[in-house]
Amino acid sequence: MSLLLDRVPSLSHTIDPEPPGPAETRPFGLDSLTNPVPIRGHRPVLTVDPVTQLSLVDGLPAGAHPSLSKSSCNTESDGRDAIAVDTDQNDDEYDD
Amino acid sequence: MAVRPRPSTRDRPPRVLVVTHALDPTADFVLRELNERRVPFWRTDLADFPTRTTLRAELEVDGRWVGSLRDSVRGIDLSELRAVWWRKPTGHELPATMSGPERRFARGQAKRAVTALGALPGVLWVNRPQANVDCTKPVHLAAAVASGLHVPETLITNDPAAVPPFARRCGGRIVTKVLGGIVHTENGTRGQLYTRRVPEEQWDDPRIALTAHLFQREITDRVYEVRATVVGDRVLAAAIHAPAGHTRPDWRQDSDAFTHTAIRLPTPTEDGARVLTRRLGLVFAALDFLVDARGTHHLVDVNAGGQWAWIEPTRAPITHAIADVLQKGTARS
Repeated sequence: MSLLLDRVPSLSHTIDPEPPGPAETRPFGLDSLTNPVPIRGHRPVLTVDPVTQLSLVDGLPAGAHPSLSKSSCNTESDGRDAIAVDTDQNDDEYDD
Repeated sequence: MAVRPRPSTRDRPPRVLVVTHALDPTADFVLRELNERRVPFWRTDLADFPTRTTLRAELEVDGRWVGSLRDSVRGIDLSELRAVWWRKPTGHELPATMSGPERRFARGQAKRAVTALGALPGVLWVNRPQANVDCTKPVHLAAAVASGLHVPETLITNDPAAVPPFARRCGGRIVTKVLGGIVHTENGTRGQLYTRRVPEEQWDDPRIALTAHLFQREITDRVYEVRATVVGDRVLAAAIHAPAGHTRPDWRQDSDAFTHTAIRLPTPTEDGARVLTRRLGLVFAALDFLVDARGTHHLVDVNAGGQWAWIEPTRAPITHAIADVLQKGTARS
């Protein structure tokens, strides 16, 4: 990816299926990995309300969806699906 | 959370463009406010272009791009645009039947075309995407020091031999944190890479040589943490208090157990936060501080696209502040 395109970043919500490599070439920083949760099963349908332009999850306002309604402010999912969303910019994963 | 319909602004030409993923509940707080204020805006995602949105941009003799970017319902007139809120867009979606080389070509064309928005005069960007990209840890930590803020001693290296002397200079208490995103996916799982302590037996781990790593002095007498959100010249801060007995170096690991209080930063820290964000070319940023027993605020992170709705005491003021800057935009000359 060219430098120019890296300067228009976009997020990736892709879950990488590739398993870890050998321990001797696993970067030290990855020892910090906590709570790796398998992501499988139902993938909610994400759309935008055509009138209000607010987020919809499976047709429901995002804050009312079960996967988000249990979080402290309805802005992050419970992490069991593919829609954990409340990452800071520095926490975001960009497309390559 | 009670959710009720808000009035539509679809009958008025948007002057505010919001670029973000279809699921962005934090942005929704601001979009509700814009709806309440009857400020016309258009929410779209890079993923929508070029399959669901259409760009027509023509270069005028005076060097201005004129035309439109729109979908089947809404859009913007490029000459009317006053503000762009660049949140968390996802990548351009393309027909599944394209080959890999075709996708790379089409994606490159689309990404370059979108930069026409950046050439429009008099548009306020919150933030310009390149400013977000440039806000890396090495850059923003150095900028923080230059802005008069305290930053813990920091080492970035792929040399294991450099870590033990650094750790000893830090009194033997160091942490390691990632240089980029904390979300890590592999093997069909998603986890987080939280800041963690590095015990002495790991200081010269040969796997440090496999890539760059960041080490930092641990603030061992941390009393509380602060998330300070800067919106233009406004600084809206909240103290993050750990429950009794909490000793982990990264509050994100136990965020549900923490309590939050709206606070005012000490004036030198608040001024430094404004200087820092201006230096980084950011209109919006979420800054993280650790506050020690002497009251010193140690800056440890600058999040150019930081989240803020999870802190209830500052949620409404930040919502209003972002809506204010988007509504005002930048006056045309």
